[in-house]
This record gives sequence, C-alpha cells and structure tokens, in this order.
Amino acid sequence: MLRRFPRAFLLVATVVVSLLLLSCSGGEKEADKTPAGTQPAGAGTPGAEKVPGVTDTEILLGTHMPISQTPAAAYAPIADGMRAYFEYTNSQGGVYGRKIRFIVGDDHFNPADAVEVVRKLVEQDGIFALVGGLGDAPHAAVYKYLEENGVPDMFVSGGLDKWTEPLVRTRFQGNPNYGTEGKMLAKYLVENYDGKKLGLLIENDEFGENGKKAILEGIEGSDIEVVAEERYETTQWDVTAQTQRLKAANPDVILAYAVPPPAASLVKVAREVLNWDVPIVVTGVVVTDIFIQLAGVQNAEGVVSVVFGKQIYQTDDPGVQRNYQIMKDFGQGVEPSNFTLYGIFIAEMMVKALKNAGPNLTRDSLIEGAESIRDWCCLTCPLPVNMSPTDHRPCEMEVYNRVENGKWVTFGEPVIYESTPGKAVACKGPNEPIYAGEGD
Amino acid sequence: MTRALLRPSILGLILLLVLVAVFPYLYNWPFFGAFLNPFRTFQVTRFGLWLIILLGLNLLTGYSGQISLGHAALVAVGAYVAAVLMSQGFMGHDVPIAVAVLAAGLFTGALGFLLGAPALRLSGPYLAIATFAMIIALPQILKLENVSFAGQEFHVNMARWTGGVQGLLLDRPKPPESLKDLVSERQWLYYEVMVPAVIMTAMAWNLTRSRIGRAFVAIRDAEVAAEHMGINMALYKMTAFALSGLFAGVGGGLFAYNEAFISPDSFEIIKSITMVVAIVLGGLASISGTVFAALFMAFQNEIVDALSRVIRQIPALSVLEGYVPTTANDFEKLRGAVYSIPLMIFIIFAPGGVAGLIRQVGSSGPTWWQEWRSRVGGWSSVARLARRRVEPDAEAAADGRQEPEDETRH
Repeated sequence: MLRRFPRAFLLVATVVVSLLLLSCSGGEKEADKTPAGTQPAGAGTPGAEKVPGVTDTEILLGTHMPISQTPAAAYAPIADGMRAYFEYTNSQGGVYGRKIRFIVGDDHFNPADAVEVVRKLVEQDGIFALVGGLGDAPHAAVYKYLEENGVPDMFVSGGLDKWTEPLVRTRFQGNPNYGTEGKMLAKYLVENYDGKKLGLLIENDEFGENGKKAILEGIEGSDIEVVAEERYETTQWDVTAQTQRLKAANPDVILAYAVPPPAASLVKVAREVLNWDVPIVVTGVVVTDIFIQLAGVQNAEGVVSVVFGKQIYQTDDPGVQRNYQIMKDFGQGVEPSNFTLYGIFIAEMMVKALKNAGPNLTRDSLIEGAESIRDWCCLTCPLPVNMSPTDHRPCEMEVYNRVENGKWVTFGEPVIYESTPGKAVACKGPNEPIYAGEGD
Repeated sequence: MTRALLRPSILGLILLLVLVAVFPYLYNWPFFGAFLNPFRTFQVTRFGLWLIILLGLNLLTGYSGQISLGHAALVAVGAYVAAVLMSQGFMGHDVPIAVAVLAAGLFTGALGFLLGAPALRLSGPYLAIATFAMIIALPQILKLENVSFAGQEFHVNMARWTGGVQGLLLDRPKPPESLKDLVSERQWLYYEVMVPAVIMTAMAWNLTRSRIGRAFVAIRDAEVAAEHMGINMALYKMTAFALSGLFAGVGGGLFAYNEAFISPDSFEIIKSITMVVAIVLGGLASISGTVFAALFMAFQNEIVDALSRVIRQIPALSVLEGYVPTTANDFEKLRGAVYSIPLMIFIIFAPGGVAGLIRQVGSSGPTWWQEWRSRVGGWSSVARLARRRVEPDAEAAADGRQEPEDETRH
C-alpha cells in the first residue's frame, strides 16, 4: 500500500490535469471587462466608507521602490522625500482632516518582486492609490494589474511613452516622458551641431530604446549623421569598451541615454583615459549629484542635459529652501538631495490632487482632482503644471542645464510642450504663478 | 488498508493535501479569516511556483552535486517559451496553458541537457562560473535584433518573439466560463499552479528514490567510485541538468502565466543567487528542505520584516540610537543585512538547513519521544519507506547527508 501510494496519486493527478487542459481550451477566449471580485474605479457612493484605504481620519497610500539589495537602491531617498512631505502635510492637519499614511514596498527593481509588493499593497494593506511607482521596468509588470483593478496609478516615476499613450484614466505620469525629453535634446543638437557627426550611447532596455527613437525623430531633416551607436546592459556600470569604440568612430558630439553611473563612466573614461574632450549631452535622468560625484567635478564640466525642476543647491530660491527645510524637519535624518527633492515634488502633487478632490474622497474624485490641476506652481517648479482629462503629464516643459563648477546650472530659455493651455506663463515662487501680461 | 491510512505519516500527508486543496477558500471561514486573505492565496501560489523551480535546482545541486548559479536563466527560458506560445500561438492555433507549460518544460529540459555537456569537465567553482555566464548572457540574447559578426550583419530578430526590451504582456488569466461562479481569478490561478506543484513534488520524490536518484547521489559523493559501479557519468550528469531544466521550464512557464508579464529583468543575477541560498537554507538533497526553501522565497519579505521588528524590540538598542540602525526606516534599507546575519548563524549551526535541523531535533530528545517516534515511524514517511527498501543506506543518503553521520556519532 505504502509503496503504491505515489503511483495512485500520480494517476489521480494526471486525471485532474487532463480535466484542467480540457476546461482551459474551452474557456480561453473570453474577454471580460472587469474580473470578478474587483472593484471598478470610484465604486460606491461618495463619502461612504467603501472607498479602499480611506477613513474619516486616514488616507492610505503606497508605492513600490528599490530600497535594498540592488544598485538601484540609490533611488531610495525618493521614498524618504515623499514620506517627509506626507509627514509635513500631517503636521499641518492633513487633507480635510485625514492624515496620510504611506507604505513603501521594496521591489529590488525587479519586475517579479514589484508584482508581489504591489499586490500586497492593494490586497492586504488596501491602499487608496499608488503614488510614484518607480522604474519603467518594474512598473511595466504592475501597471495593467492596477489599471484593471481601478487603483489610481498616480505619477509613475518613469518616462516611457506607454504610461500615457494611450491615455488611461487612472494613470498619471510623474517624469517628463522620454519623447518630450528626446525632442528637447534633439533640438539642442540641431541648433548647435547641425551637419556634424553624432555618437550614441544607449541603455539596452525600453528606456534607452524609447529615448533613441525620440532623438532620431527629433534630428530628422537636419544634417546630423549618426556615426556610431553603442549599447550597454542595465546591470553594467562600466562603459570603457563602449567609450573606446565611440572614439574610434570619431563623432563630433555624444548623446547618452543612460542612467547616472554609466553616464559618469562615459564622461570619466573619455576625459581621463582617452583624453578626449568631445561635447557630451545626456538624458535628464542623469541630472543628479551622484553623476557629478562619480564622474569627477573636472570631468563633468560642460556636460549638457535637460531638467524639469529646480535643483537642491539653488539655495537662494525660496521654493528650494522650503523643500530643503521640509526634508530637514521631517526626513528622519536623511540628507536633502535631488532625489528627496523629486520625492517631495511627487508627494506635493499628490497632496494637491487630494485637496482638489474635496472632502468626499473617492478614487474618482482623486482622478478629477488631479486632472483639474491648472496653473499650479509647486515648490520646485520652474513653470506652472497643467493637467486635464486628456493630459496626464504634469511635466511638459524642460530647461537646459549644464555642469558648471560641479553643479547643474540652468541656461537658455525653457522649452514648453504643454498640451493643456494654462493662463499662467511662469512661476515666481511656490503657489505664485505669473499670469500673462503681469510681471516683468 | 485502513490501518495504513491511519499511520500518522500518511494521515499527515492526506491532511496536508486536503489543506492545499481547500486553502484558497479558507479565508471565508470564521477562524482563518483573521489571518488569511486573497493576498495570502497569491503568496501561496508564489510558493507553489518556487517549489517547482527549487525542486529542479535541488535535484541538480543538492542531489547530484552540480552547483548552478544560472538556474534563473533556465526559468526565464521556460517563461519565455510559454509566454511566446500563449501570446502568439503556434502555427496559427491558440495554445492552451497546459500545453504551453509542458512545451516550456520539455524545451528547457532539452536545453538543460545540452548545457550539461560543457559541465561534464567542470566542477565546483568552475561549474558555478560557467553556469553564472548563462544568467549574464540571457538578457542580451532575449533583446537581440541584429548581430554583426566578422564584419557581417546577421538578422536574428529574437526581439520579434520575445518583445525585446519591453517584455511580453499576456492577457490576465481568467477561470473558464463553466467554473466562473465557483472560483475567482485568484483561486483559479492557485489551482493552476498548485496542481502541477503537487505532481512535480511527487515526481521529484519518486525520482530521488529511483535508480536515477541514487546515481545522482553516488556521483555527488564519489565520482570515481560511481564510475566503478557502472554509472554512466556523462549521461547522468547531463540528465541531472535536463531534469532541473524540466522543472525550471514548468515553473517558469507557470510564472509567466501567473504574472501575465515577463521581461528580461524578471529573472536576474540576484534572483539566481537567492535561489541557491534558499535551498541551502532549506536543506540540500531533501524534498522537505525544498519545501522550506520555497517557503523562504515566497515569504522572504515578511520574514525580514518580522526579524527587524524583533530586533527593534530589544530594549538595549535605544541606547545605541544614532549609532546603529534602530528605526523602521533604517531596517528597510538594511533588508539584505538583516537577513544575512541569521543566515550566517544558520549555516554555521545547521548546515543541513531547516530540514536537517528538524531531523536532528527528531532524532534526539527524551526516551518517551524516541519510543513514540519509532512506533509511529519517524517524522516523515521517508524513513519508513527507506527501511522497507533493499538498500537502506543509499536511501538514507538520498534523504540527506546528515543521517549516516549521525548514526556513526551515536
């Protein structure tokens, strides 16, 4: 009996599997809009306690971010910045009397882990909305799940076009999208290097691919010739070989769609090892202090990029000062940096959307609240933020930046691709939009 | 018959199977509702996936002694095979999940067999490095579009199949129409994963008690002696890789189905190494050890959370505030460190993993305990079966290295 047990068991199991197989081939093609047991966005009457994650005293928000076990954990201070701003909001009495509780899920920048933590946030913790889910690769694994379950996917910290194209009602983008950014970088190249030879350093993933597409579209029609394209893997931080091959192709200017460490490696190798002073243009993702530290102040000098916000060391700017102070007061000892500044920006925008949503908070009213953000100047916005039901991109303007003496310094006129026309034309300071005809 | 069923070991197994069968409905019950919810069902589904994947790795590393750091690469291949079949069909036909997963298993198994060939001449750290290369190379292969080799351009266009850098997004799995009222999406997924997991576990269990399993152990313990006994070294080493590939493929295929998404980053180097850590922690060359390993993989985050909560309870820590991490925020960032310390302690004091520890605890203890144990037939049905076999020693060895050593010591 004992020895036969597994065999009998196997027999039963085989029958079960064949049944499964049969049932599968029958039921595969059905297409339902909402899976059973899930709640469509904004279900329930306003104010009723049915809204997930919202009580009379609390709003539960969550995010997924790499906090440990990966080099990408360098982004962790973004979560600290967000937490600091929510704490600050709570110290001011919260939003309509509700305190914000914020849970960070550590996804190790791995798509499979992101699935786990996001499901935990939604199903076990019961969050109201996901805020600032970080990273194009991890978020790609969860965005459909959030969409289908009607969980607001607020301000994704990634720039892929697919976050807002096609537009999904529950999803908003946090970063400027790479298409916009690519157009700006291409504009700079066309203005300054028309007729010259261009070399590309591209990260071998969707981020690099998306950026490259935008650049190539942007330089179309000009006389810029792409003479070399080098790629590196996401796990790779040293691009010495790629830089050497780029030099062999002898371009007049290099454009890098890379994250800060490889971009720093490119600059450092070009300047120090190859003694090559080619002009280098980088994506806005690189505009961080880490890049300058890794590349070396001397080497980074003159590197050009674009940004959509102010920098933490613009210490004479009142908005940046407030941002810095919030981090000092509520950051639990985490040093203010451009990452915490970005986190505060995302959290600030979220609080703004929550305030716009009014006292009867539902997922529906949150989305309407975010869509109704107009002419809004955040602490660190150089230009007003506008959104609408057809525009879920808050950052549709960027300014050129250049490294000068170890700091990113703004130059030139801001370039605006705003698709929602607002009345304000600029920001004087936090919550101080300048309207057309006013000022100057 | 009835007496056999009433033996604690068999009874336990049956109860366990019943629990596995009804688990996704338990959270509706009054008592279980307190700590179970649909998310737990998801986690246990993940456990089932890891169990399949880790069984393969334990067959390879635990039983036959071939260290593989690239197991995640095989899992990813299985996931991609299943995902491509499910999303693009095969020759114009839709492929049902069961066929796709089986195909993934067979393909990956065949691939594993071929990968076993270079492993024939390598052992120990060299084999680890060679298998490591798989996981490093795979993401680039999945993204391939054009290759220039020796001055010529070749169009490989792997990306057409794999979705390249974007990965593949599948339709979210749904229960069939006829069962719609009975199972929710989550419960359906649970059964889709758990049924193969139970079958694969039974398969691995049988395998390790067969000629093949014994040959694996013989190769691991003494290659020369095994060869003297007439074991075809090349064939069995490659078979070990093939079997681990089969398990990895099935696990990967189910992973893709369960997740409805697969990208080149889903299975990376860290995952691959964590898998090896998990089976060492659970117990090498042991099926129950693999169950613990899978539990560890599925509940890792919660284990670390609980650990850091315990550490924060230590009152003396508040004195050190500001010098060492004490806040929840600190521990979040030290996740890796928090679990590395218990890990080290574990490996020093319980080299047989959790399974070995349980065996040790079981074989020591007061007299009444020993008497009861010998009466009911030990902790698991394994020891009992082994006694009935012709080669009790080989059987004991197959169940873990601990036992023969213990016997000589006592």
